[in-house]
Amino acid sequence: MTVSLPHYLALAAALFTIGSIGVVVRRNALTVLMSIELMLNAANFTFLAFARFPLSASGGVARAMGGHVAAFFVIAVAAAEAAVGLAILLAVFRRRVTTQVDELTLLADAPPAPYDDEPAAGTH
Amino acid sequence: MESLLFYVLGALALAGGLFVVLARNPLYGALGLIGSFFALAGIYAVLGAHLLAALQVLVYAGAVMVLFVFVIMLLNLRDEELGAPRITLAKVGAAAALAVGGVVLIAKVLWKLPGGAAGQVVPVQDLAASPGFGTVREVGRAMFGPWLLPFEMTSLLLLVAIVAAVVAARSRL
Amino acid sequence: MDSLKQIFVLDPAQLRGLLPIIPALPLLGALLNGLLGRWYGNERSGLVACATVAGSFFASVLVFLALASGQLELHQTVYTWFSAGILNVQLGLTADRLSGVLLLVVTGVGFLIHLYSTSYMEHDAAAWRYFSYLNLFVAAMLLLILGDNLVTLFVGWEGVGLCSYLLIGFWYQDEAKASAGKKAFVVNRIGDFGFLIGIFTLFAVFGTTNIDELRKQSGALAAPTNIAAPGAPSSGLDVSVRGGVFAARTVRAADGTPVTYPASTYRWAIALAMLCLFIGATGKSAQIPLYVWLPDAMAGPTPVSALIHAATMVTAGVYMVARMSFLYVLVPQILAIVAVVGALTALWAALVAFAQNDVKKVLAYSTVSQLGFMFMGVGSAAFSAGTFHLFTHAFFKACLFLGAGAVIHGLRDEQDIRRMGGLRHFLPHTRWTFLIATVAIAGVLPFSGFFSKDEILHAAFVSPALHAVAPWLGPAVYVVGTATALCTAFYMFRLYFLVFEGDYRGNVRPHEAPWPMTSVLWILAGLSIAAAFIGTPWWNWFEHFTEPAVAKFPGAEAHEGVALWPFGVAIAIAVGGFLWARSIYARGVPEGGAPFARRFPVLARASENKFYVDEFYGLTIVRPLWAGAKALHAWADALLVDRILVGGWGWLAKRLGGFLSLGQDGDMSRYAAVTALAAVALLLWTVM
Repeated sequence: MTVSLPHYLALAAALFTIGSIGVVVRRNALTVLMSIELMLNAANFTFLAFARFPLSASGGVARAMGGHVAAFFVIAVAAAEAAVGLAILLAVFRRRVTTQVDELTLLADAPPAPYDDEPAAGTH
Repeated sequence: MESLLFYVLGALALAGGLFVVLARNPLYGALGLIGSFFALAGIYAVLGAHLLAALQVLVYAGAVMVLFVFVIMLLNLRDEELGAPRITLAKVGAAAALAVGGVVLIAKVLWKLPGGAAGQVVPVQDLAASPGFGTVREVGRAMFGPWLLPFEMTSLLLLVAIVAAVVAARSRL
Repeated sequence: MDSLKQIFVLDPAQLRGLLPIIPALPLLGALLNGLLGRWYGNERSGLVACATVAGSFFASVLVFLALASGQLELHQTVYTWFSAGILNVQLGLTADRLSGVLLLVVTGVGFLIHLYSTSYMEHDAAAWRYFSYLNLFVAAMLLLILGDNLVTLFVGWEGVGLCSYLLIGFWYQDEAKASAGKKAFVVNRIGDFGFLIGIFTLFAVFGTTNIDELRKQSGALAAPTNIAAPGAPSSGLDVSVRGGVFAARTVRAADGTPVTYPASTYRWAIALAMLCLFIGATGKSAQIPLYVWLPDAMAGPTPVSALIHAATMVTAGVYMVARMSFLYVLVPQILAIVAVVGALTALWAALVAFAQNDVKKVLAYSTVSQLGFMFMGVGSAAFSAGTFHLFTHAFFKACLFLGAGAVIHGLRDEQDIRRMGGLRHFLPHTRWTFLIATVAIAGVLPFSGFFSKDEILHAAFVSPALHAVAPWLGPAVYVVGTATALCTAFYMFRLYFLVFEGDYRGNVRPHEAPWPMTSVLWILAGLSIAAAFIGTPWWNWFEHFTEPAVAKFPGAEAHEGVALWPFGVAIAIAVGGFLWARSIYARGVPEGGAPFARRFPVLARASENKFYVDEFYGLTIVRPLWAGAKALHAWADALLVDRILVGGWGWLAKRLGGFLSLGQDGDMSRYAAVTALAAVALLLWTVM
């Protein structure tokens, strides 16, 4: 059977799903970042697939090139994001000596103190 | 020919992706990702996106992944520090949901789903044969034409990212 | 009196322009003294206050002359206060024969008391405040008298209550005095509540609060039926919405004849209204059950007691009944209640006065008792007689109070009569004027008290109104009144003897009062005598003068001649009381107490303790109210509002926040997981 748009899209979807599962399940920050890159690539793939098989007839090649340009930008942004993310990871690792994302819970509160029962301020 | 290339390269890409997600040592994951990127570059070429295929190899596999590997080496995590996977309900639930979602999406794309709207995606035409499709000239025309503003903004973004990375990774703030 | 028209260059009717000036002058004086008095000093404040009241007095004289010259009524509307739907309240002033007389009393006696006060209060640092309040009081009282509708009257009513509170508690640094002021105000307020209900009921029945309008509409009600002939215009009763909810209605019967349903059914509503107004009068005029504030009110300066609690404010209740006489005659049962309450109060207060040892307290209970007399008078539908007693009482009671003030002043604030005695040597002017006033109040010929009291008792005996309720009621009231007169003579002469006769039992050297005080005493004593002659049974100018202004009970006939036997009884009682008192107290406090006190010690002690009425009220009313208030505070305020409704929100916010913040702990993989779940759900929802 000729390989056409649906097949490419299916492959992209599969890659995206794998990447997203990786983001959710894995504890190592580096692995998470790489999974994110995988997802971005899947998105890129989708752009290019639609660039080749557009769903509307207007515009011709010039319009289809928009898909390539978008993919280009995605690569640029992904690179920038990877750089910054790794820099942050290094900074965190230096202070906490851990790369496990679920151990970075500084934002959490201490357990609440028991509620004291004094009446509202200013009563007669 | 195209089909063969698609299936082979597609399998390689999927395998690389699985490696990334499943490997315990992130270095192995990085290697898997590099392989996946190469396979994808090949598929891009099959799709007629010649410039993008080249860029994929140059930038993504060549620069970004190298950066990743540097950082992995720098961190130099020993086996014990990698930690055992913590299985929580949220993770399992989310993973399952994602899997289901992915399956549904693929099915929707490939076949008509009962109760679904449009069913199989039907392309209008195949532009791969058009002259200049995916070449530097055409992509350049688009980029410096209608997409000029995003291009300039991206350059700004890259500048910002450089500064951020330098600042964030300093040993003494 | 028509010659007066020739004396006046202008038409007496035009003098109605003077009417707003009468209350406005003292009001101006009050403002000046209140705002600037501290700056220009106490003496000038006294001057300003006396000047404004004198001005009102002159204006009142002119108004009075105009009324005497044939003009029965002067009316001036100042402005429309508020007007909403059918409720239309003007700030209007009306002077008729009845209010004309009272104007003279209030402004005249008021002026005299202001004059007296300049001397009495000259050592007080805050006299400017005193004069401001006193002027304000006069202004409010004048507004009460002149008001042409019940709402304006009520403004004056409340105003005098306010000034009474301010003046009783004038030395507010003393907590007991401040409490007395508070008690007066609170008890008055209870009466005022009744008064308001009365006004509302009258408005509901008649659709207006204007006294003149009420008179016109009630006149139509007095006739039982009003069936008009076919084709004739309707009966003259107002059947429009203006007539109010309960108005009589004229409808067309089947054959076209108009049939009027009279408002006689609604006499119940009118009766209720007049009863409620009377409840207000019991508060203001210190009758049972709301008289308890008046003895405590003696904590104020003595001129205040003279003016407010003897001559003017407390008479407002009597004035109100006389004013609304045209409605009261429609409901004789209520008149009977008025008379009976008056009689009982008179006797009760007289019995308490027997054993009091503070000179002002004796006079206070005497005032309550005499007010009871006045209510006996108006309750017997003898409105002129009651008002005449109001008139004479103002003179001799003011004289008595001011005399007591002179004594207190002369003894450096001593008020206990057991430490007085023999003051006839030291305070001659005071002694003679006090004696004259005592004789007057005891009701001895030919002093004024005799005629006014006697007229009331006689009127009660023959009253057709009381007879209409029960034939024995009139004589019963007469008997109670006569017994009270005996008591009055007794305790007043007891007071006189203990203060002025015998030997001096005190420590301080007494001195006579200065001329502003003694001259006022003599003027008032003179008036106590002179006022008699305008109200004698043979020539009753007072009654003729006020006749057009008050209503008559149907069946009340003019004098069937003058019965002489009541005179004999009255004289005998007065003399008897005098002799009885003299036998016990002529030489000062008797050893071991008076004979009857020895024989009935429990009664005597009860009388001295005012028959424990205050304690009774405290137990049955005040304590439950306090307990209720405390409970409400604890439950509704502290618990419900503070802790639950207000604190509850805070508690809820805290708990909810605490709970929600558990999700914000920085665990990124959980964040990612939840986001992924949501994204998938969204996707499936759009795709499916």
